[in-house]
Amino acid sequence: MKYCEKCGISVRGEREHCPLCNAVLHGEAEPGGFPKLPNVRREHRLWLSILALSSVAACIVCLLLNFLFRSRGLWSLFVLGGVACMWMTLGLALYKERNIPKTMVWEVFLIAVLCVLWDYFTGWRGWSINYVLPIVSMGVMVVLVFTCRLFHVAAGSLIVYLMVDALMGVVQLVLLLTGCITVPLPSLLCVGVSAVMLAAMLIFRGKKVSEELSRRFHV
Amino acid sequence: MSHPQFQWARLDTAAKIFPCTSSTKDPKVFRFVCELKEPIVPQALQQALDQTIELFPGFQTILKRGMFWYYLEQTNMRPTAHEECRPPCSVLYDRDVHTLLFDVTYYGCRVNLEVFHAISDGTGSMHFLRVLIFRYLQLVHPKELGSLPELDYDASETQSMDDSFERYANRQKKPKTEAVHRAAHLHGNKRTEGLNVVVGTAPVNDLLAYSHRCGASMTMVLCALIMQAIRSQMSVNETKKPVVLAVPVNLRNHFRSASARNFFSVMDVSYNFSKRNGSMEDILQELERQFQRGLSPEELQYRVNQYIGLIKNPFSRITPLSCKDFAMRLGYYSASQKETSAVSNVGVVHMPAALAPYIRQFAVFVSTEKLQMCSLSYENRITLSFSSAFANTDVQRCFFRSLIKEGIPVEIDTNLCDE
Ligand SMILES: [Zn+2]
Repeated sequence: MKYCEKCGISVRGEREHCPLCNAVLHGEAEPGGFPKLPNVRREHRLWLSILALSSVAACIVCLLLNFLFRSRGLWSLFVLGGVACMWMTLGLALYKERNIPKTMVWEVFLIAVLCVLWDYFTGWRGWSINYVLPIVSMGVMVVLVFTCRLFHVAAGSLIVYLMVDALMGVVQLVLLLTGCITVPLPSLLCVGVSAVMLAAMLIFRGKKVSEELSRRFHV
Repeated sequence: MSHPQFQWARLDTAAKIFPCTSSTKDPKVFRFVCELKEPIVPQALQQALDQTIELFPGFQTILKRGMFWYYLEQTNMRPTAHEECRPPCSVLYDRDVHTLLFDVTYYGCRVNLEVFHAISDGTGSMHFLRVLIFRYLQLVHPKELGSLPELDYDASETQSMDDSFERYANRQKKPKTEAVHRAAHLHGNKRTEGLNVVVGTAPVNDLLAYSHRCGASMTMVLCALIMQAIRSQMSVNETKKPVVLAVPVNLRNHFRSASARNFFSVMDVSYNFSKRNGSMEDILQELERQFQRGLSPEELQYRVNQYIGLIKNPFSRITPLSCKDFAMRLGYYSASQKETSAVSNVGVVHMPAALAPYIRQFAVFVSTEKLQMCSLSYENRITLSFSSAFANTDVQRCFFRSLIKEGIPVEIDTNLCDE
């Protein structure tokens, strides 16, 4: 074993210097208990930084141009809003990157909220609740079922994600009944599909559903 | 081997703090190491692991987030023993990907068991490693060890999954304790990646003899030495504040429990170098007083109640988990401001005498955002393991040099790289 004369300590491993005082070690090396590991660094951080810088630059350019041509109105706010929305959806995807079904459910929620906000601030024409909401929530249901086959997601988690998605269907039913929706066909279709999905779950997996809920909601 | 499979379980009382305070900096993971005298055979280790997991249903679980609490769910995932490929005490619990909360790795002659603190504490995990090593050695040396009787771990399955806090909690008022407002802190550059681990090994006899000379228990002597080592690295400004060490108390020694889950509590001991003379005798005298008070029955009962009170509170129960997470993180942060470092003596590992010729030593260390020392002894070898988030090793140097000065030979091993 190697030996440090300054500390009076034996040191394992093949190091040249004492880990405590950095003096030169003497003697025969004896294998130590920790492997030498390569340093791991992430590459895609660089791409993210580039994207971040270019979006900040784009925003600044738009703001300056808007300031130059003030007569056209505050169009640069739309650009800022768009960039903010892009980063929100992207940020969420990166934050939850390792769990695809979970990411999808969250993304759908976020996109739905963002669309409603856009619609609201651009003079409420109803396109968000008429088209976007039903199409997106129907889409996610189909994709969820497929991803779960592909990525072997446990049945319990699938049940919860489908429930969340079905909740969006319920919200649309409320909107339909209160007359907020002006083009009823997409929402009607979506509510129908959600209801069938829920019924199928309760009929085929009723016990699993109730077990899963009791776990998730125990106090 | 069959045991009644549980479907899911609440986190035990003490474990509730771990999922929300776990981070990449301090993932609340600890590692037990068993070093044999011969290189590990991977196939046999895997086979031993498959047998061992059958006895510990609490380990074959994943952690999930409910509406109000985290919970453990039984899983079919099988653990695989693999070669060590990540820095010691890396993250085991990931909010988004459900994986097992422990990991068995090997490197050279060593078997490492890394465990996320939410499923078990040191005592429970030590049981696991003992059974694993026992089975492994039986598989590798069937002729010599095949006929040994089973290990002495006799808790039935319900007992090993027991939340002993619930069992021993009662309504008792808080005893008066001296409040510490802010403890001294170590400063220095933090490491960018992973922990800095320094494992020192010394003969138990020599250390015991030294403790006898001081007239104190070994834990107290170790605490005193660390306090002095920390003192030597403190800035003048910090010296005004007390050095506070957190010392985990294994509640199994004081309440009957065979739980393989968490059943421990933490007691703080402090010493103010600016108000006292800082000699070994004086520190030990002060520690003696604080240990005696900290381990008194009333104080221990209070520790059990302390956790339960929070968890049984109806308002805190129906608060959504994300709010609780935030509150617990806040509480944890303010508590950690009152501590300089932590010292835990896990105790003595007992293995059947027939295994002794094959085992060199055991060791244990934990992830930390500060500096922490864990000790563990087996036969005549005690391992004193420092894990630290700091890049320097000044406290460790002072500590080990003071042992050397007392004539106790020390050998160290570290994951630090040569510059
Ligand atoms: Zn040295």
